[in-house]
Amino acid sequence: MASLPKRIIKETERLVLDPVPGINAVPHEDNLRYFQVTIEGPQQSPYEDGVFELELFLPDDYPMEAPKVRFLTKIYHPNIDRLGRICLDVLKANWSPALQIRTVLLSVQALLASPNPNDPLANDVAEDWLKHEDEAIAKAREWTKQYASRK
Amino acid sequence: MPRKAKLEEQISSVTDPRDFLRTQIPELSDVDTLLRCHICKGFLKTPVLTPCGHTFCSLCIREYLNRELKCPLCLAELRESMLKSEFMVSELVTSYASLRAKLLEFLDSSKNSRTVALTSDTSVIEIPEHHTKISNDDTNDDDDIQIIETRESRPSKRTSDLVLMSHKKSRKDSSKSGITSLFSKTKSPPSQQDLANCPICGKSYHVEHLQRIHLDECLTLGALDQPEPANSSSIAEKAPPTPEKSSAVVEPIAKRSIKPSVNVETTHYNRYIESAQKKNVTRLAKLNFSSMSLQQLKNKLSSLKLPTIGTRQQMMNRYNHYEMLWNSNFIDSINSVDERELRRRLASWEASHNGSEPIQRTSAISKFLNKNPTSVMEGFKTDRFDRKGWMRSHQKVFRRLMKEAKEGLKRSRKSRPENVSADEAKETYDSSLQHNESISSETNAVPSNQLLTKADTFATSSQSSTAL
Repeated sequence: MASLPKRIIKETERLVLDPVPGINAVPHEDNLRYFQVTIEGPQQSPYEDGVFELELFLPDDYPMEAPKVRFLTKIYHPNIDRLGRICLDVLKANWSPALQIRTVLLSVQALLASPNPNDPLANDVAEDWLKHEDEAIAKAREWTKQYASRK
Repeated sequence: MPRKAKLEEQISSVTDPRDFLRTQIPELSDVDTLLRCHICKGFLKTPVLTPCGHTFCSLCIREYLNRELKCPLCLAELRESMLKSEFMVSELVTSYASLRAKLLEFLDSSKNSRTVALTSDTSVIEIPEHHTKISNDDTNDDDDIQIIETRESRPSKRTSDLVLMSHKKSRKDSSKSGITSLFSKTKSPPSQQDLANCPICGKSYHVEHLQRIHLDECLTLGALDQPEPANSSSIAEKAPPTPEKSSAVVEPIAKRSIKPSVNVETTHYNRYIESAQKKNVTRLAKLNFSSMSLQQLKNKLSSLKLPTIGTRQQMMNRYNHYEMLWNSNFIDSINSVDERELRRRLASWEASHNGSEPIQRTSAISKFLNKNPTSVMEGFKTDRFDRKGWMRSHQKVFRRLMKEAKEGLKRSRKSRPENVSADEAKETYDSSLQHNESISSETNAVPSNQLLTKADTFATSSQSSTAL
């Protein structure tokens, strides 16, 4: 393995030249396996109008192993805990090397659009979500306003 | 910045299906995409077919099947023994890959010659460079035909060269700032002086590219590519240097593309036809290491003429990788290389993947890791890792980290009042596995590069190993 695999170069090139709407991923100057990512909250979700920062790291075994993704911006979401870790199948058991950075980030965006409190990572948030959905959504909206920088 | 230069070199060697989008037949990008492996995104190398109808590089899919027994595309169950080689696709891809550059150039340059007026923003600085190119062209004729052919637009001769090339370049030169600019396809042609001929395939490359990347590739893929460069160079000799001046921009391309394509096609076709005659080499079996003694393992390795040094784990990895190379080479491939070459590939893989990491870490955690045998770190990245045991045995370090983090918090609180609360730092403790990531970025006190340092040392180590 001569430093960076071609696949990573290719993916990065594509991300930079042909970005996904609402998602921005830029490799770090010193480490091209580390990406600074921003995702816009999807429309009609409690997270709309928010811009969320994430970090993404491609482990040595990528693409055999899933990328590591974490929210840096605080977010009120049943599948994202307060350390920013994400409960998402394609990041764990359902990872496949045919997936790529682009598809993973799209899945994260989709997770924002449809929270799943039945498979929680942040238990307290999920409980809130199940018991008083309106309040939880309002709180998510409030956190978005407070922590996620405005567009 | 040698690293950046190296990266640039690497980026310029990467092809992408979207290269065709700016040509006359953008639909070709679809063909280009289809002939690529979904795992490595490169052209299929020794393609194999799964029972579910998907095609991957033999090595890519075998490596993945060492981890998961399913198809990466449809998640259907899959085992190595189910893979079938696809000679047809294999020849199709190699044939296409050898034609690709010409195809691209043909479609691109003919477009250029028609839209000269549109792209006439030639900058002044670039012209001298091309002047030197052309003058070189005049002095030593034979060599340069080859150089131009493999690197840039061969057909463009003498004066017409100047117009065409400078347009080509100016179009590509839309540079952005920062690291992202590296990825925006600024492929500046290397200056003539830095070109050198590869001793193996005879093509000319940029010196650095030759030393760092190409020689290795050429040695590895030598067997696969051999017929192709031999062809193209003989064609280059046959084709008389066209004396026509400006009118000869498009014409020679057409001539050339007809001639070699016949040649190339027959070679690939013949190879496909002859592929039915299979050699009698047996598949290497997977081993059940848990029931093997160390001596048995060593015997097995030495019977394959593999080195028996290293830990048990390293020997197991060595066997597994060799088994993969072996089966891919002797079972899937049309033109197999001999065992010696396989062992050479294994050695170059080991140099970057299976060694004990050369360590040069600075942070507290890493120093601590240095003291511990690497076996502790086994499974660190997987779910099998014993998190609780890890937490118990390293409580001290976590305590100290928490202290550091809290101090960092106090400091950063002065500058940014509503940051993270202290109980979050406590939670960091609970999630011991994530400690370095989370502490560092939550508090901003410890720089968030512990993850990066590790990857960095890895990168440098593999760089030095490729130099061997």
